[in-house]
Amino acid sequence: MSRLIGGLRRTLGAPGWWLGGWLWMAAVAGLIGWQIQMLTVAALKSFDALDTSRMLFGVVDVLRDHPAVGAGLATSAIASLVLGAITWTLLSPLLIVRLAGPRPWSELGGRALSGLLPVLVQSVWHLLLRALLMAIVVVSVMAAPPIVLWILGPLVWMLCGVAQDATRVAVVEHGAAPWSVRSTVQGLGRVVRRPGLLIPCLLLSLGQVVIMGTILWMALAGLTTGSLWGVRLLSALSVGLGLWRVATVVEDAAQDATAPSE
Amino acid sequence: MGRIRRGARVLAAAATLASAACPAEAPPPSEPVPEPTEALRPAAASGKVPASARVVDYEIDARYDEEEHRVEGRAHITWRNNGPAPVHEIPFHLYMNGFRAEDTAWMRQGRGSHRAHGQSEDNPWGYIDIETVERLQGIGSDGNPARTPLTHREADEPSLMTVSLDTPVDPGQAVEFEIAFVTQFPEVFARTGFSGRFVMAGQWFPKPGVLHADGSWRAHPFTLYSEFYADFGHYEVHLDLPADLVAGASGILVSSTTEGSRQLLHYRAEMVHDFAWTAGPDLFEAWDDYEGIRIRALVPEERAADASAHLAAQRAALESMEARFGPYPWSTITLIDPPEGAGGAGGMEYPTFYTTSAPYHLPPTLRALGFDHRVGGEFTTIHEFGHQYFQGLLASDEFSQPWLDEGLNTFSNMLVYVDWHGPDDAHGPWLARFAGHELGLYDGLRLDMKPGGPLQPVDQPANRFTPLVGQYGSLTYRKTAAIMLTLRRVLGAEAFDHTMRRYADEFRFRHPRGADLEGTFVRELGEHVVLGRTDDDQPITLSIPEYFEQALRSTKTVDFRVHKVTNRPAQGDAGWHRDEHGALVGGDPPERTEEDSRSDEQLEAVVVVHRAGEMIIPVEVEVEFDDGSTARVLWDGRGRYRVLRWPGRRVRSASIDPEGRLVLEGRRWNNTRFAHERHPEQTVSQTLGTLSEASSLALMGGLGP
Repeated sequence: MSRLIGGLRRTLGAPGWWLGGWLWMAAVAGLIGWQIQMLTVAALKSFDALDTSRMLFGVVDVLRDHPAVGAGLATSAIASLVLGAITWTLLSPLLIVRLAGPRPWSELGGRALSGLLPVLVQSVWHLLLRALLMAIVVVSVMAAPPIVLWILGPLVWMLCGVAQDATRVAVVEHGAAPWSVRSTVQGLGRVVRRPGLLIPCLLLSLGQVVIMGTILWMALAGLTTGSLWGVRLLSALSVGLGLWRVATVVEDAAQDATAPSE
Repeated sequence: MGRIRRGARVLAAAATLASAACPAEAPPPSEPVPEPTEALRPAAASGKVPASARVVDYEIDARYDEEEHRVEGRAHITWRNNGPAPVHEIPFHLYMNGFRAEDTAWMRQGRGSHRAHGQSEDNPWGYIDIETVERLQGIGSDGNPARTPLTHREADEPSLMTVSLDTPVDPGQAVEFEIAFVTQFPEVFARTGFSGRFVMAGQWFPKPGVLHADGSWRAHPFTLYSEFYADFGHYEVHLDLPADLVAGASGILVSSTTEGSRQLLHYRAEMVHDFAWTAGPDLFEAWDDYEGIRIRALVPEERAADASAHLAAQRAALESMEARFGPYPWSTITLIDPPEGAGGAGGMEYPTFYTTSAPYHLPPTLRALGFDHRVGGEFTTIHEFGHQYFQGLLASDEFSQPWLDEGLNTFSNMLVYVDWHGPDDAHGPWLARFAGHELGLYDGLRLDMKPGGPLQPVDQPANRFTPLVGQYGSLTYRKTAAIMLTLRRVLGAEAFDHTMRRYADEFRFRHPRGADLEGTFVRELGEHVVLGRTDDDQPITLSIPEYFEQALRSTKTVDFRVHKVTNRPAQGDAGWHRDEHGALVGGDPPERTEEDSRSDEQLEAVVVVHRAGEMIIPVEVEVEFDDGSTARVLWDGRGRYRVLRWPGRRVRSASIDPEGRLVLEGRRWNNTRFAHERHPEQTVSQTLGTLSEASSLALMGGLGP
């Protein structure tokens, strides 16, 4: 529990990073939404009216006659995924260094920059590890009811995320081998052996997933200007939970580092 | 070992969660309903059953060899000549031969695949081999009927055979045959065949063609999209099956005895044009009774709970169709939901018996979030039962005009949904729910209408549809349903339903053609139905023959769009005019004001509507004015466009077909337009923009940090 509280303290100690991350995300999403709106206006011109009593039919009717709008929606979703992955990967050394404790800007920048390349390499190793573990899960529960995969799949996916955090923290802050796959595996081993770290981090990841699902459901159910702000605030909460998770891993590593050696 | 135990605990927990998420429904009561003693309901309940419709009777003895997946049988057939001239030859359908080789008409089109079910590698072929055909006439020396061997020959297309008679059958006379045959089932992929121990026997015995009143025969080669066509008659069928299989069949079970490892079943069906049966192990039996009709559902034991859904759908279908299309005449209905691996048998109708498909219900969590559908096995049950009317009772020629059975049946299924779930409004009962948004049944049909138009018309023989074009289902089933629903919504439900009931009553136990349906509408409602009047009191009519001609026998589409919605300055009287003395007076310049600063009296609302599709049909236009009032105009749709004017009014928007009467119109997004500077409350662009922004936030936030 002390790791979780410590992680929260570290997160709340860096409100600007939280706000900055969210603002960046909100700006990108707003731009993407605006682009889709303009694309649709250009396609429909003055036939833009939507019958709210048959919204589903109205949207499908438009999309099948204007596949460019559908393609725009699909590519914007893919772009968001890719952009999100790139943004958070590139920012992770900076976030880890900052969450590890306040530092002068020059030291912060220097450490983050020197950790960037190792983080990228470790991210690739983790991607492979995640693919391998997911494949094992899929194959091993193939005969079981589908719900088992629906539960185990996301669980293993989130576990890999926490393991990746552990590896990144070890590489950036605690001098773990920057290029070696051993650091990747050690990250996984560390979180698996420490339920006190893993479970809170999984719960925080789960919180992010729940928020993501809620936002998607709200978006599909239909958004007004007011509820769009609700969605934006939920996404801020999601960023906060993510930071808290990373900070918890940072706290765990810091506690280890300061613990008296036997 | 400990890790394995932990893994097992995780799996057990997951399974518990799964069972909590999808609670199994309790299976329905399996107390059998007593088998009726008569194949037809009592006269008071069965409706008109004309004796003259009885043309061909069968007595079949058949033994099923489970190891070889083969039936050896003898069919005693009595056929009556209801034609105008003596008959020398009788064509027979040997439908099972469609699966005999790669070069049959069926296989050339189907290429070994039917509704995504493929031929098996081990048991791909099915056939029917006619061993002997004998005519039974008079009494032989042994006191039994005398037997005369007859010549029979397969056509080049083996799904047809001709039997040459030794002496012709005169009009009004009957001929009796006995045909010995062997039917080999394929592993089921197209309605009939076996899967493991399960067997579905459809089109398994030789059937004479249909002799029309003009003396012409209808006997068609079996092709991918052609179904079946036969005369009505009585069936006495004796089946010899393995004793441990649960069997179901057309008609009533007269008797059942067990002899060692075999069971001998005697079925009787009356005034039907086909007979099918099924048998399989591990089938759960569920029962119901609907006003004296014994309903029996056979479902795989592991899905016993699904029987409830089928029975509920069956009951809804009976309630709706009896009220709309007259009494169901037979005393039983049996349905089978085929087991796993036998999906190819699913979704096929036979008299008083049909195959359906498994219902699929979404987990309660998803339903609570507003996701749901009504397109599973219940719909199949309703559809296949619907065929008891459209083609079981109104036995149209499914080869020549497949729309008459598949299309009218699909249309009737929509009405079952309306009666079962309601409402009967512009969208129909919901078919699917997505995050709380409902897609109506009629809107679902609209989405199936090709905005660019189909490549083929609806009303054509089954063999003219080709899988390469791929529009058979869309046209025959759904476009026909849209044609009928459009007509119903344009004419009004009362007049339409009355006419359909007349058609159903008149053509029960007959072989109606498309012209009979169209003729019934003309006879009941007149050739031109007045829908409204023009400003100068001229009638605006729908021409029934023209409607059917365009909708069924052309590829024309229904598509209207609002071309223009504008408010232009009303013309005043500025300028020079002559006074009473003939002198020019006045000359003031016209008033120049911005549009928004003009009063309504200074404006003229103008709406131009455009018939973008080729199909001509009257349509309503609704105009909303700035003051919130509305006006409706009925346009006959004959010209390419129509200009509508309202002097002294300011228009806000115009909508074509506001009541959603034209189910045939697939493209609706251009049916509503707003005037310049007037904006709808909600737009597609805003909706998609916010959807995109929110999903972008979700995806980026879900990934990071």
